[in-house]
Amino acid sequence: MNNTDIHIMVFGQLAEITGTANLRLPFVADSDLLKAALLAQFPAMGKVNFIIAVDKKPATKNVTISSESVIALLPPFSGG
Amino acid sequence: MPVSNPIPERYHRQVILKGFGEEGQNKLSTARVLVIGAGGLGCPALLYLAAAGVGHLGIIDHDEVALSNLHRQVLYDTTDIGQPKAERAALKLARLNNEVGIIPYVMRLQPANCLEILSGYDIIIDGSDNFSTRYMVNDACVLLNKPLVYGAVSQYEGQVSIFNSGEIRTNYRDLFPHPPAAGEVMNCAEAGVLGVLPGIIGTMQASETIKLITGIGEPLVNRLYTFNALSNLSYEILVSRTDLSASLIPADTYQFEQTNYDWLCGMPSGSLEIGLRQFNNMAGKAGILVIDVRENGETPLVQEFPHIQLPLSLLRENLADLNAETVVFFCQSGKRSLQAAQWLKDIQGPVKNIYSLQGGILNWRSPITE
Repeated sequence: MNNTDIHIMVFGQLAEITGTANLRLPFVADSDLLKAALLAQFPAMGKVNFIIAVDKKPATKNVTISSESVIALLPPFSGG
Repeated sequence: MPVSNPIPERYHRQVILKGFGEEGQNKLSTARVLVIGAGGLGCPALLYLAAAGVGHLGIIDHDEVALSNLHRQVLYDTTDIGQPKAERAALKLARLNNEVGIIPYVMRLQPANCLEILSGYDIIIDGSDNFSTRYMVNDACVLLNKPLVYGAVSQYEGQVSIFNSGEIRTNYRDLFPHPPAAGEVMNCAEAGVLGVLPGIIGTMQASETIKLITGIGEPLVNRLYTFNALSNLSYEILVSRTDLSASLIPADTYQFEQTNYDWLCGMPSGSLEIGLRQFNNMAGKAGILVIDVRENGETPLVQEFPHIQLPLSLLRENLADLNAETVVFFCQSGKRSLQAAQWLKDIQGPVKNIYSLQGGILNWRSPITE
């Protein structure tokens, strides 16, 4: 049923790694699987600090992803 | 018959706002706000807070105005170059509104002075430009239980949030528990920033501060707002308390003052670096291992002093095998060698003295030609 892609908003310099601010990946069922898929496709992400937010909440633990989930990747900013 | 005070003309347009009124203005006039960093974020925040009539403004910044600041740090002009930012900002804000008490602090905020300075204010605005200060200010606000209006920018994007306010108190470590390592996130100096972007984010920080003081609207308490100026996309995430965050914040004043935030943020402390003379005195002596961490094929090749080659890309797995009383790293410009020195220090191995040649081989001169 979940054969669709998931849409991921990519913020900050993470978009330089993904090459796009609007990333599409094949559906995965939870945030741990998403992280693994991201690292497999973009090994450089393993070296940076970022949050996976699923439906506006940071995935501090593994959380379920549905086909309607809004997902974002956010790095910390330090500039002022 | 009692005569009500006329609305001061200066604040007329905001006092007539529904929900703001004289009560809001009175709250502003007694508020004490500290702005950390009088840079891209601090300048617009300070301008609007002074204009709005916030009673007391503290401005802390140790830095001086530089030409490359002027595209975004709108309190300064060309004649301010080389002058302390906090003082110049205070002078200009006093011209804008002489009813505001302004205290400039021309000093670096450090664990030793942070709590004392922050404790004199009701609300803290973080407009700093580095993670060391940001984590230190975050932890200090948790310890002092002060609302923190956070703002940060990178390239075309910015973030705003309010921590430590309301019933459920969250802080920056609930989002990003640990500071990133050095070089992991580039700052404005390296990554660039659209000048107007800190203008937008700093102005939002002022707006959120005014909302907090006057109690109007729905401030960004426990919500991190992210804005992209290129796409105009914005996104918000909700911040929740985490156990990890609570465990990482210093337990008390003593622990806070003992914390080395530069170190935590992976900023190699300057003591690892040595200059030309010290380097030349060491190179070739017994017990001193000099290591070139440049990648294979980088020039100029070095033949003037004994050394080994161990490229940075292979260094980490070989760190534990380094066995000498003193190790001195060098590279092209001194950046990679400093990273190498930091790594070696981190593993706490057998090497007693660890150094990096400041300025790298490009600035090296042999003792003869020096």
